Amino acid sequence: MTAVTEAVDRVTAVNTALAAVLDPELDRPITELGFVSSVSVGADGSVEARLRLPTYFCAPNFAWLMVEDARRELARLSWAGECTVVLEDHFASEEINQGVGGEKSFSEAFPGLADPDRMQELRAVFLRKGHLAAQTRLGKRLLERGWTHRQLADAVLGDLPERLTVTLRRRRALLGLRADVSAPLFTDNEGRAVPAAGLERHLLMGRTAGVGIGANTEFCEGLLATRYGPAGWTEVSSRREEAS
Amino acid sequence: MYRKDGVDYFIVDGHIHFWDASEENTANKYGEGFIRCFYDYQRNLSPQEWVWPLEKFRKYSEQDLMHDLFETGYVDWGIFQPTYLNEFYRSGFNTTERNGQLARKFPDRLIANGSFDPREGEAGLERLRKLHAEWNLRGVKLYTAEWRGSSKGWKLSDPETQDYLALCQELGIRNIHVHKGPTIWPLNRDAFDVADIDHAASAFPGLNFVVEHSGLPRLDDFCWIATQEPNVYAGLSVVMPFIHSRPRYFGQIIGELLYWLDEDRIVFGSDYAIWSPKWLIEKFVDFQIPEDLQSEYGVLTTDAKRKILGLNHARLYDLKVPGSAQLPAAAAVAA
Repeated sequence: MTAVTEAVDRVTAVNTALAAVLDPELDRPITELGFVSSVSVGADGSVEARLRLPTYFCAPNFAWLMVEDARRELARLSWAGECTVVLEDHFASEEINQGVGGEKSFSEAFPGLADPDRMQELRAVFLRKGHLAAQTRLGKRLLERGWTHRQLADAVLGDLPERLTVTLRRRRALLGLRADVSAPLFTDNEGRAVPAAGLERHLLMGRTAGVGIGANTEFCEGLLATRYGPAGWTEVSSRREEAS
Repeated sequence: MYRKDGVDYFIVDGHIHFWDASEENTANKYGEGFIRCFYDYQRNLSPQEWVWPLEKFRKYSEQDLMHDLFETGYVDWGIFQPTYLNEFYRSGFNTTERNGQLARKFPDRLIANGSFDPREGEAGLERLRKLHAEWNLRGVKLYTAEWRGSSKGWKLSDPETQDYLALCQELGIRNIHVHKGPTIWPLNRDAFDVADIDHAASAFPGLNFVVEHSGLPRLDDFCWIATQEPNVYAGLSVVMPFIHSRPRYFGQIIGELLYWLDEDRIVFGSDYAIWSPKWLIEKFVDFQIPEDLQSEYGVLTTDAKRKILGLNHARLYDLKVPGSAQLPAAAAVAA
């Protein structure tokens, strides 16, 4: 393999790794949202990803989670050397970049300004919404195909083709809930099966959660485009001068 | 008043500002970032002809406001919701005092709301009494996410807050507007969580709690609370401009609110000067839930639009509604 094709492959691998990072509030990968402004890979295997957000005042807690998750995903690349994630144009860029880079916790990076141990709880709040909304999307499709509420309540993950339950299983894995083939298809936040009698209400709550997430996503995507021009472009570069 | 197809719409814009983010008043990079963030809100969700130059957006005049609301914007009453931001702007961003001076000049058009921060303790209670004595408050706007010393925010369910809400009840400050919207401040404490509304609304059934921005992105949590608490209202500021660029989402949000609450508890607000009421009102009166969503959400009736645009607020703020703008049943009773 030539140095150039290897560099291109590595950039692809970096983007794939970053696609595993979700905006916790929007339940979508940061790569799809246009939050990754550029990535670069050095000849020594060093990786840098630059992130940008829809506003200067986007919540620093969510920003932190994305920067930290991005760094963790990059560090998993077998060939990666030093991994740096830089958040640009944000009121707390400095604290977040230095904090995540120095492997501090959020509360250590903002001494006196943040309560310890609240980040996972916050992440879980929105993962649960994403999990609930995904159940409603699936439930709606199944009802349209003639399933009854009783059948939905009795169903387990293994009853459906895997491609239909990808999001559900991913969210459950992140929430520490069961995601095996015998796990119920429709569950509450603790992973308990939703009884048939409660299913209609369950799906309605998920519909509302989905509208909330979707509307917020539209708002954020629009703001990102307003701030940086049409979204969707990502400047991908390999540091060729170093790769040669 | 707005008239379309022979129907009169009494208009109360329940969420307006008279801010000063001029360079002279901007104290630091946070103030600069804040007004630019607001400006991006305007640029993102407004029709092109409604986007202002940044200079005007930073500080617009009394004439701009009066023109945009009352001369061309159909508004009968405007309600100021203050945002102090004293740490970002030298003399504050959008204070009760700045708003109140204008409200005093146009007492049959403008209402100035106050604010409180329960972390001020006894002194804050006294300050609220004074603010009420000076401006005859009918409502307050609360920012539970504001920093103060080592505190990163507060909740309506905090013990200290109960004294403030009790004082509001005693003074007749009945309308408690709470900012629950897109997250900015504070850091990791989830201060825009809406659960505290539930607690306060149960404890103070005599007060009305208007949740501004309808709790987005926590729409589901908000709706769930609002179904159980009859004194909880959905404020449409920030939601309204979706009607232009994201009409389908607008239809879905309105549909959800109509489903979980009802048309008596949804209230209009433009968030002026981020957005201007004229185009929001025109588009809203012409709006209908997209056909393929009507089986789930039903339709938005003319009566519902009249309530949302003004009649609901008129009830909360005791505003006199001309007979032509009242609903048929109410008009018959009044006659």
